[in-house]
Amino acid sequence: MEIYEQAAGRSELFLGNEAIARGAVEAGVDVAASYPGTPASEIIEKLGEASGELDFHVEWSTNEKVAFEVGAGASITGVRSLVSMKYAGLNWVMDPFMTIVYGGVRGGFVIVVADDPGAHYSSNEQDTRFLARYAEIPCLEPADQQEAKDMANYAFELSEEIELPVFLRSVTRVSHTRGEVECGEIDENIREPKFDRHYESYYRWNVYGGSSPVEKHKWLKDKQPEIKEEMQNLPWNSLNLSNDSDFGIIGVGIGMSYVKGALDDLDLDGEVSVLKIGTSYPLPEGKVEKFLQNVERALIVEEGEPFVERNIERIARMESSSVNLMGKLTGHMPKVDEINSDMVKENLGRIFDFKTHSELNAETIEELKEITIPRSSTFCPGCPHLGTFFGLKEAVKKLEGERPIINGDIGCYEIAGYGSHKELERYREGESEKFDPSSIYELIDTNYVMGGGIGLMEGQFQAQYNDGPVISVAGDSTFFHSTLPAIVNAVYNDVDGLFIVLDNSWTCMTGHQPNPGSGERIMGEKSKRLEIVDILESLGVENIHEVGAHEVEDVIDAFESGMSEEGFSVVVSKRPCVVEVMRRGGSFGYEVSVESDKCTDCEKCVELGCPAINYDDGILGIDDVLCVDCGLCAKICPTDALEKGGRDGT
Amino acid sequence: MGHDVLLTGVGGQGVVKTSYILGKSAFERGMDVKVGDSHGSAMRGGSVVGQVRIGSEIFSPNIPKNQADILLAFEPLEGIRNVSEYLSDGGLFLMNSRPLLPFDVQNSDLKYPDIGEMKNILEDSFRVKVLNSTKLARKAGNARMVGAVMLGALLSVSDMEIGEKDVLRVIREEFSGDTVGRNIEAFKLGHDCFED
Repeated sequence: MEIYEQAAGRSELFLGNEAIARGAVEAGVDVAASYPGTPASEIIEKLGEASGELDFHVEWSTNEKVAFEVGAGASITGVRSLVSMKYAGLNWVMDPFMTIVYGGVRGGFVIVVADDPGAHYSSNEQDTRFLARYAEIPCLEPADQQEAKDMANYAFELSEEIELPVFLRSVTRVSHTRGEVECGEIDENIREPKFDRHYESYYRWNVYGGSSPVEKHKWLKDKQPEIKEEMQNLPWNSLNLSNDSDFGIIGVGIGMSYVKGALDDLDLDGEVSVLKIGTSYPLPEGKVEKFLQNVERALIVEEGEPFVERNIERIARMESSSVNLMGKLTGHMPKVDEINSDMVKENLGRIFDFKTHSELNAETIEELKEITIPRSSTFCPGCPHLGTFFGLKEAVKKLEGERPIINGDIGCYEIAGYGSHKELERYREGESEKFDPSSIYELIDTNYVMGGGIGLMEGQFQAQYNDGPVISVAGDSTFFHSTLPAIVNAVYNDVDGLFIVLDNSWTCMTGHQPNPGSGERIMGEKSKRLEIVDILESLGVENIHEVGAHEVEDVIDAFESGMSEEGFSVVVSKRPCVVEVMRRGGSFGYEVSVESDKCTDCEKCVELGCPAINYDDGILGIDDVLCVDCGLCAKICPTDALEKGGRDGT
Repeated sequence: MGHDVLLTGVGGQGVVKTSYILGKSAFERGMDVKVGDSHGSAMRGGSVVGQVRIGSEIFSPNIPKNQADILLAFEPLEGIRNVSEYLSDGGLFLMNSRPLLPFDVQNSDLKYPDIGEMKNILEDSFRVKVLNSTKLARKAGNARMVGAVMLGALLSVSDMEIGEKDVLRVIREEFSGDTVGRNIEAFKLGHDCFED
């Protein structure tokens, strides 16, 4: 069922991100924009589906900063807008994020940010609540999917009331969990955009217009008491005092669901005082003070950094409270990684002195541990990147003795730097320098953030790194998102390096969203397709090579040229994502048969890293459940042990 | 009343979709449900875990340590990787016996554990049921429909508070065209495989 189909008063099993989208639709959102990022992507995907029915604008923007400005621009004209992103996207947005609050907004403007504690899908564990406080805007933090929906809806109203953006902070376990959501009425009214240059103040929408930015900063400061007041009585902040114990517990956002789960499992419901916090900035200070007056010991349960904990500590100091606070700062809750209800239970178990969970037979645990082996992540069978990285591996091996630096970037292709068990073994044996890659999964040396690899490569060149070529990679969506200024910089500052664009036509790691190179927009509407090679030419790149990702000989040749020729070179390796091709009914029809007697154990097919190849104890095979008949392995097998031809199912 | 079910497998096997179908089937019967997933840092080819919590009132999205009543292992190794952390003593371990070899077996000296040995160890602490879901799925028309086979088998060997009709209704909602009939067939093959 789509998010707009469920009637008011009825319940649905919504993903947290679907709930947020439903809340926005109930509030009558007019414009929504985002760049894909797990665990936030479904918000815009679901709004996209609703936009066809309810007539509003939804887009995948080129990056989060553009998305943010699309949202802010719409809000200035008085319509309601939503932008969503994973926490990393907010870092791209910081400049307008910190400045739009100088004068604020007109139509409701909601910023949804999904943090990823535990870094399930991410390169760090950043807690974005600090940034909401930094920008001095309210931060709502849902405990579950129902609250996610309700808060998303309310956030538009609040934004219009305080004339500032409102921050909705989700986390993986809210965004990517399904739970019951009771739906409300959908607002189908269309707001007419209007523009008033001096709306309620002189040059309202121009920080330099008229008075100085300092005046607008003062306006923001003067708003704060109103925001604080508004938070005091929201239904998502509540206090339940118990006379039975001097112990209390504070649950913030998803932390409250873990608190409730733990109290329920241990039959402690109603036995301890509980403060539920749904607005992590500003805090409902009246309720916090009352809680502190009624307990002597308190556990604080929140996801991320000790953000609320420090604030509670401050309030306790101001109130001269002697309460013993327990949380991340005191080591009662972990300083890194996700939290869960077991951790709450362990604390309660210590305080109330009981056993919190049953133990398994220790012998069974030990025996299972002994036979369990790791499973390193791989590309999909048939993935275009298998061909590109096999070609890169071959080209790099020919350098003999040189030590190229290969800079990665964010997208599926980052898997070529995840390493493998074998690499770990070599590392443990004491080798600290770079080893020859035993497979394509040991190629990428550096990786941090979107668009970051090419700049690192430029720095290595400017440092006069001389032990081998400097190389960087990026996918098509990343190319548009954040590599263009670095490409211009490479041309301008005459960098000698190789930049590889892995163009598979979609933004795949986040769920195959379209991008400016796809020729489609969010709802599958045709759009202008931007050609990466044309853009490179127009930016003044002189050495451009375009190859098919599975045409391995061409790929190797292009990389060899790119590494040896003078100046900045770009190789664009093209082939559509295998998953997207198959979803659209495509197939490859290149069945490969195994002729074991021809196998010389050269292990080229192992180095290729396709998960559909089975090579164990010198016995070669193909897993016919996984194989998609792309034929790449037959192309790289030097002895025709893998050869085009029929294959029997096993 | 209620069940905590952990689903484990390899990316691309349908763990997330199957978790949803199981959760939705219980939700439509009026149960409170939470369904969650996590799949490490890679979309495919890596370990995937789904969590389905069914009861009268569920708060936490995570199954507490060693509180799962059932573990559905779509792939043997991924089953034993998660069992010690999640499954309760005496819980049901329902396993697809068809391995998907990790890349590490190919490029290092690691050996895939023996299925018989796995079963022997597991039987000391759990109720173990083994079937070749992949083979049954292939019989129903597509070797990738492991999830439907596992759900069929689950209903036949557990006291889940949902019936065949509940699951089939959700399968009809969630799939389209020919895949509906094939998934129903796969479900039925799973459901009947432990007979006699």
